[in-house]
Amino acid sequence: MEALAMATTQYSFHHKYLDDPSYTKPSPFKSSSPQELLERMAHDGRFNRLFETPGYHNLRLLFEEHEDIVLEYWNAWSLDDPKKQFQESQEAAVSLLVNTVPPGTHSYNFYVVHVLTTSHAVRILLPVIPDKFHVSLVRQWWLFAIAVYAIVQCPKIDPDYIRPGDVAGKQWDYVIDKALNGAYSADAHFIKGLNTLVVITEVEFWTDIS
Amino acid sequence: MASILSYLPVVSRFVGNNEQFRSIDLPPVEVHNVETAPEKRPRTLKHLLRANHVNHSILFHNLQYHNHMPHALCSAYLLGASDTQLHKIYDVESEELEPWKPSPAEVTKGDWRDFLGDKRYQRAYVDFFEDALAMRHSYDWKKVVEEYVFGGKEPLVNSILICGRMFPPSTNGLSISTDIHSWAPYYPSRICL
Repeated sequence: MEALAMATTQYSFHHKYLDDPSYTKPSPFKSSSPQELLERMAHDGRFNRLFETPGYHNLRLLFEEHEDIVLEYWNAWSLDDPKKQFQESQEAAVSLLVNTVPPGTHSYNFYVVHVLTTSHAVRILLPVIPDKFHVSLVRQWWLFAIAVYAIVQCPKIDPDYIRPGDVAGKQWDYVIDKALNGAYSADAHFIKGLNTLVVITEVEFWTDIS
Repeated sequence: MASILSYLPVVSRFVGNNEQFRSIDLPPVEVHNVETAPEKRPRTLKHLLRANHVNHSILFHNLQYHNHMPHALCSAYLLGASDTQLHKIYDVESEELEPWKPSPAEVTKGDWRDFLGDKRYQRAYVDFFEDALAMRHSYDWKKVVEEYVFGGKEPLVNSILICGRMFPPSTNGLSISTDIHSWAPYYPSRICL
């Protein structure tokens, strides 16, 4: 019942975007690819000017003063084939976490990891919640993903950040060992981030993401 | 057009049945039942989750931070952590957590929506839902979830991922796919208590 208590105590204005259908409206552009839309955000000059520094403190300002831009991107995601688009959203969530960290740094973002873990939460929930909430739950995740990407100031997503030499010869057992025995083995966000990466390949409905 | 219209709760009633609720059909994930498992590892997880439930509030540090103990314990468990490793996580995570504090008042069936978003009511909400579980739903937590997460005009499900503190209960409801026990929905992933 703690989950319900968490949901009630954390309840916020964001629910209105799902509850009130007037927020769902045509966008000037559209795409079925979350990754494509995130890349568009990164190159959208409007986002560069929103905040002085990246971080959680930008969240309220984002919705209070720049709701129109958020909704533009929120409504731009077309879900004509929701299962396929959900799969692509999970790929985007993984990419957002691992492909925004330049080589030589370990600047994994605390908020970005939640984009991935919530995507996995959606995956687990979808088979057990009423059908009528499926698409809206996925869109709720998308709203969250946009918000996080915006408040961390849209860092570049670059697959080439992962250098082949860094991952050569390493398998999932290496990742699991780091999660359980590494320097951050008691850090909840380190463990759950890695766990999500590991299980996302076995639980989710595709395997090529690994 | 119908695909967009079907997002809308009202309009969707008038589009075809196939479009009415476009489901995303996926197989359920594996459930790990630790409630009655005899081995030490699942028993340790069960004990530590219960200890956390009793000893620590779900919000702490001026109600700003979330208790991530279940996230850490369950994630580590799923990755194969030993009972010793689980205890280590419990000890480290416990250092910053806080005991429960009384809420300003009780929450009742008549006013439970009036305190949404008020973190001071964390204990009152836990008590409220536990009472509902025991007294009205015969310990069937799925019924409680059905009533309070999916029921009503503005169901809680529309606010479970993105929330005020930006720490989405990323795992909130994850174990809706699991089964039984009063606090199962809190726990990340596929662990059945």
